[in-house]
Amino acid sequence: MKWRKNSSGSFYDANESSVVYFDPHSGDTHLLSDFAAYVVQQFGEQSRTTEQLLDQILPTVEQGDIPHLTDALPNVLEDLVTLDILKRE
Amino acid sequence: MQQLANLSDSELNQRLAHEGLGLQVGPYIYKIKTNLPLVAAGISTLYKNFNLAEPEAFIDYNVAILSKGLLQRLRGQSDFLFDSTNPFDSIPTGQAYAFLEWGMNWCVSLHTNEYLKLHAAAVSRGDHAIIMPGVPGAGKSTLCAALGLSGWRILSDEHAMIPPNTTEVVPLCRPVSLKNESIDVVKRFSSSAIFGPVSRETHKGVVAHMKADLHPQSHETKTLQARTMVFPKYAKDETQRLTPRRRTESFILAAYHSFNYSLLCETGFEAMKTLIENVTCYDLVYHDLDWAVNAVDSLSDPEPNP
Amino acid sequence: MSFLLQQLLLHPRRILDLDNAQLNQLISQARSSNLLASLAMELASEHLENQLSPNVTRHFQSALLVHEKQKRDLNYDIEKIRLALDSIGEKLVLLKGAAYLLAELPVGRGRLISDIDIIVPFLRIDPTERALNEVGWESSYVNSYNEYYYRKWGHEIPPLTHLKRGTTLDVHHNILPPTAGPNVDASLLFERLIEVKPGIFTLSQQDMVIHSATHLFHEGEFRHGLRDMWDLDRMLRDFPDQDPSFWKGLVDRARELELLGSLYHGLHYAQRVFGTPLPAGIIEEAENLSRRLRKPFMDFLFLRAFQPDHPQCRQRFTSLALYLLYVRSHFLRMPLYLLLPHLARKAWMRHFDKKDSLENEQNPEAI
Repeated sequence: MKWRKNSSGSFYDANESSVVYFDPHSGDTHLLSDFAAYVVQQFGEQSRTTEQLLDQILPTVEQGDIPHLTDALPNVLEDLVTLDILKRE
Repeated sequence: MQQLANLSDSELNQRLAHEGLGLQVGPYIYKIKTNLPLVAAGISTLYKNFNLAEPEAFIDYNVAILSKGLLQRLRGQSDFLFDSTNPFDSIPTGQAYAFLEWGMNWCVSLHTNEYLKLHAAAVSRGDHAIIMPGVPGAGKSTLCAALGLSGWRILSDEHAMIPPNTTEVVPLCRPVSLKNESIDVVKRFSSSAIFGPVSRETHKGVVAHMKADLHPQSHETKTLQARTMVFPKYAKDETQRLTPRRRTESFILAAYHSFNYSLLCETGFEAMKTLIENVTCYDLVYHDLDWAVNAVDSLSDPEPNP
Repeated sequence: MSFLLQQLLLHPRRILDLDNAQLNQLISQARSSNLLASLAMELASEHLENQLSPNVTRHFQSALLVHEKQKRDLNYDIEKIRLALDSIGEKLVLLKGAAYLLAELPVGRGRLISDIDIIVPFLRIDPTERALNEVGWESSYVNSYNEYYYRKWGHEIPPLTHLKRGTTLDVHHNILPPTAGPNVDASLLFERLIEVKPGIFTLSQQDMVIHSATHLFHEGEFRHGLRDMWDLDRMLRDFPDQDPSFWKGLVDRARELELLGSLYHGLHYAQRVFGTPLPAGIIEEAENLSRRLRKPFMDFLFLRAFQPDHPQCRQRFTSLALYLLYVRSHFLRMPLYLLLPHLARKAWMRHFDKKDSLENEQNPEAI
């Protein structure tokens, strides 16, 4: 399964546990968890597989978080599709 | 500039009934017409110290509240007119004053987009403005009225207008709309509060408006710096508290209660971001007005010239 | 016919000669006719907006922002609707404002829209509605008199509203209801579609003009009379430039669709109201004997109805003319025995609709 970002939006990150994301595609503004926002930021123009994303994200996180984030990623991706921030390819 | 108070009663009624009364309200000029004595009396009380528009000035909004023809008068009904068309249904004449005020809000809510418009009250002391967004019923107007009666300048009871990419608030002082029990709460808070006509059985219950231009600088047009955003919540059974709140959540809540955040797209996002980055955000839970006013007082910087 | 708004739409430069009272009158007329953004675009095309006072310009800018936002939302919503229709193998065919904007036609410049209109073949209504329901479009009229009326007598299903977006979508299966009199064979419309974007279609240019004229004379929306005439004028000036054979066969096409009367009135009044240039003889070609006899009465009705919805423009009897037109348009749509109960119920229901709009005013924004 591959994922792609619908459009290149703007973030408001105030170093809190949530981040504001404006999506110009839908015109919607979302309050995302910091992890979900981080996932969105990993996307450029290209599509990514879940595995590619994990390879990209895991080296940047603490060892103890790895199992937790690996479990969480598929759900986060699904949620981001529901919000129409990402789409499946 | 001439104030409404300079007009004699007959001059005022003449203008309201015929050519229209031009009033400068913040950055806008309204022209108001009415043939209802109750509405004329309300305007005379609540807008007494407002500046009259220059005779040749460009009018932004033509509003009228009229009872037209014998049939409407017999039925006790009136119409609110904007640009001479009727956006709402006829209303009982007893509620006409409240409808005029709502209609005047509606003009700004719907037809101006040069500012990011938050659904919020705004007050200031010195150069320091506080923005108070709130859902209807959250107690923002009650708190706004109490602050106005305690030496704060009321910038708006309904629209906090922010020029994009600034942290400024554009003053748009108009009477404060109070509903149901908050009318008596404010009357108990200060006996000096001046009220206009009471409208009963509106879709929001009993409504009365309080004169809001109580500060010597009420009608100055210079913008003020917003440095604080307070989210008031009236809650009878909760512990009163003033606590910091997250910026990102404040962003979303203020955007949700904005009239045009979404319409402005990227401009709205950037405007809100600039604003939120530069203000400190608080939750204010209260049930005692004196306590709430003290809490807001504590947020303002010490004044060099009190 | 020389009211301020009509003049300024055609000759935007004249705005520089207006005094403040006239500017106020112009903006009021444009706002109440839903033409403020259209006028703003005409001003912008001659770079006039910066020559006005900022107090005046801000009203035009405000309307343009609404227009820009509507265009963006429309593109987003249309793509979702296209995918939903694609899933059942149906083409997306846009009508009216949505078509003008998506096709980026000059008639869409500054055109404000209140809903999205699409058309599908009658036999595909049920699967279309189900496919749209699945992606969040739902009818707000379930089990009401309005729903009954729409389903039994309408040329469209009850409006669908998107749960999250709040947008309204009208799904038509014809451009006139079956009760209207003329029996439009909607399948003819589908034979001449134009693909304006991949998978997105509009009617042919001739059919767009005929439909616009039909809408104007058969629907009860005379509040937007001037806006609809402006649509016609823009199309009738633009389409012949794009396609020199536009005029050829227009009358025959209208006759084929049984909408010759609407086309005749559309051409005639566009010329009267906006001076729309027409090829010699086309009016005569479209005009038939029975309609020529009715003309003085029709002029009385229409020329008054096409004034901006504003009192400075209301000539004597305008209210009467508007009322007669409202009755006429219902008469054109429905056999008389259906007409009276519907009007009575509509008046009663409007009372509640309007109240709702005031209630909602506190929270017009959705994120």
